[in-house]
Amino acid sequence: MNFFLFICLLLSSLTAAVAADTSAKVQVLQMHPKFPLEKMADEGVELHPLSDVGKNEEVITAIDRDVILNKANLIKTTANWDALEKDLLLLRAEKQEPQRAAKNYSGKISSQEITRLKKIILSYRKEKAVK
Amino acid sequence: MNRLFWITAFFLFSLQAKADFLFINLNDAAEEIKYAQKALANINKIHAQKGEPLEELVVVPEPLPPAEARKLNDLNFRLYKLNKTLQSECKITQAPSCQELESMQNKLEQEKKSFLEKTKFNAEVLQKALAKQQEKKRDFRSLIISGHDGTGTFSGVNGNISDAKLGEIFLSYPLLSANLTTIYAWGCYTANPGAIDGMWKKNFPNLLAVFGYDYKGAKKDAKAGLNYLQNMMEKEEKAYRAKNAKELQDLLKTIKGYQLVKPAISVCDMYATPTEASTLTEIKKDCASKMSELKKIKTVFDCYARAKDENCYNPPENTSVSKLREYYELLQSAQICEQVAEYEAEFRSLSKDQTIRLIFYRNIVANLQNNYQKEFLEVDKTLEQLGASSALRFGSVKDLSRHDLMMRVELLNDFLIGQEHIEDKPLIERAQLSMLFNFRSAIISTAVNLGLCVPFNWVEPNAIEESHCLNNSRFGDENVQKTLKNPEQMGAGISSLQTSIGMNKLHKLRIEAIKNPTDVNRAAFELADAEMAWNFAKKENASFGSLADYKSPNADVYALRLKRAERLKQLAALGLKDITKDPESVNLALQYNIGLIKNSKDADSETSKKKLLLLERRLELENPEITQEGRELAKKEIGRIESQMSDLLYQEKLNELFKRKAMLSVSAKNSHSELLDSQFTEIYEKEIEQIEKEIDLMHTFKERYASGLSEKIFLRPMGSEF
Repeated sequence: MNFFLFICLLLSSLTAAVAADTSAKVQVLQMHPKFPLEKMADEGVELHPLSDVGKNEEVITAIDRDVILNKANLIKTTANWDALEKDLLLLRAEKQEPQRAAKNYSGKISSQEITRLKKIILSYRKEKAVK
Repeated sequence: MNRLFWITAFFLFSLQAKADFLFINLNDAAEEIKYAQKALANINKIHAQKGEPLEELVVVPEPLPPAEARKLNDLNFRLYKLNKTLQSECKITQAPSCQELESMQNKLEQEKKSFLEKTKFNAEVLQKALAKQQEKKRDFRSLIISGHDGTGTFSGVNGNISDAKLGEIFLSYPLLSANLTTIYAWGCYTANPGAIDGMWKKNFPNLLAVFGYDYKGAKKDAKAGLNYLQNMMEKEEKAYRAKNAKELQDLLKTIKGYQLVKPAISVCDMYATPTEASTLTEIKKDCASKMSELKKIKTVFDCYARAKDENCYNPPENTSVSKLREYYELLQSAQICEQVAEYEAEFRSLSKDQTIRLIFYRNIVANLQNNYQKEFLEVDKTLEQLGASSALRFGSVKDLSRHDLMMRVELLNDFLIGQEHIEDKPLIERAQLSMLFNFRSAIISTAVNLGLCVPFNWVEPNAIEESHCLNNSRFGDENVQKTLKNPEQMGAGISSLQTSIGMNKLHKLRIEAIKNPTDVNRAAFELADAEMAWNFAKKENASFGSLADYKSPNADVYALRLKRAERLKQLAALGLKDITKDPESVNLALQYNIGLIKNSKDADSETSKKKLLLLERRLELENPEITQEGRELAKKEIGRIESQMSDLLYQEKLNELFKRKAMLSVSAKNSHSELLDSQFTEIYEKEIEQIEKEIDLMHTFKERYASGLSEKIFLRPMGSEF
């Protein structure tokens, strides 16, 4: 691979570079569904298909989030909430201790409900990671 | 084509002809085959009652017979155990028993290979299988393909095939595929609107129905996925009868365990999932309007994220009602656009995580300050000791606007890339600079990027939690002390610091050269690029320092490149025109390329030899003392080699352009989040457009190759900007 290309790629990972790190992985990101990514498999570069982009987002998609809220019997409680409020609820349930998370909902959602919600989210994450 | 016509044709056809199912077994899915056979048995019962011809299921490749499958399982288990033993007991010692185990491992691997050979699948296997089926006058109406789908390729333990190739092969057997109207695509993301339109309908023009998954597919032996396959096959006829998407959705909901998977089905233009009932046309239309709205409101996100305009220096204080929050709402409501091919890339590049963090930015910097107070003070002290301008102090970051914080990061960047003669600096200073590089990365990854380095809990006040990307030893005095003990490893080594400085300098110069493409700017970038290459080559030497007689062959080659870049810089400074045509620069460029080929791994290949010859002849032409006869000879030989290699050189050049485009796309994507320069994205996007134009030109040039334009195609001395 010519050096210029190498540098271009290396630059792409500069955000995470540290002073000593000169071995940053060369990355190629598919930005169009028709880009022939498979042709680059032998170049020794790290390939990221389009379907990988954004897949590590913490926020769960609206469709899946509503399925989760439904399973946790919280769909009515959250019926008039906007998307951000609902997503924050899921993130708090997943990342915080149930008591701490429940404090944000002053009696509307109990710590037990948060615990149940957390379980559903974790099993969703597990299932998503499997395949 | 009119829906009624096709459906009528489908029923007339199904009444009269014997039509079969083809199961492409990429993933060794014995259970799925079993369930498909069960479904077919039920379908055939109905055919028998009606006196219609029965249908068959053809599987390619056939799974191993049960006895052999058991043997293969047993082999896999033995190999697994053997590998574990080899890893745990034979890693260090080479006892005779280990050699025995290794030979046993080889034997088992061979045995396994012979089993796998029987179920191997690729385009050739499919072609042979279809030829055989055509001889039998088979007529497939449905295709079931089971495997993992990704980036246009279906794959599994038995092999892989691209979706386009699959269609191409099928269409080459018109008798087999003329009535192929249904596809069961048993893989991930196989039946979302993007896949249906962009993949299946494109590759199989007669297709009417696609059944599969809009998100992740079920595992090959998961009961819900198996039920879905069987039930859907049995209900296929009903699906064709659905009058609208709602009816199709109702049908989907009658499938046992549909809630446990992510099913998506489409017949003609109708499209249904458990939560969506619409038409493909409607979805596209809806997305077009949502994406255009999203684009408009994204300017608000960009404005606050980049914090360059005065009215966007800091995200709004009110987190409950704001344009940023409106943007977030729209982002979630436009989720379906991720599945429409035209918008997939654009939609996926928009981050909800980053938006949440921007909405709650004030809490985030306050938590950054609280969790790393001591380190921030130490960074400021170090900056003072190193003589940085007094404007470059971070103080209390929570009291800085986002704009002010980002300005300081830019100042820090300039300060670091301005460091010269690293080799003369005392170790303590190098350790401090190294720490500041770490700090720079740390502050960008958290407060600037606002990505997943920022723990979610930082969106709320008083979160006592470290950043995912920062631990205290990465910056501050603790890091300096650690570095002093082990300078090379911790980044205070001369070459690693030079690299860090070079990389950052290169980044900045590149942006300058694209923004303002004067010869002086482009030469400055070219020189920095060459210096980096040279430093890498030197580093390669240094890492073999203990071997006195080792010298990286690339060091000499990159020295030529460096020399050329220095020459270009001098010429640019003099304001000369056409500096890349300067004979000395061309000469150095050719020598550099010759050196690269000579040092490459495949230097002995026929292609490399021809390329070498080509460049050597060109070098001869550059020699002012060449005779007229020599010139004619060299030109003739160049013409001969180029005509022999034209296709290859064209393809290589095209690939290089595609690669550059992809790489710049990464930069464009990253710059969305790096945000250090508000124009990063636009700059890279402009550059990508340029490359696209160049790709178009390449196609034109190829057509005009015979008319002597070859030099313009192939002779780019460095593959660089010039």
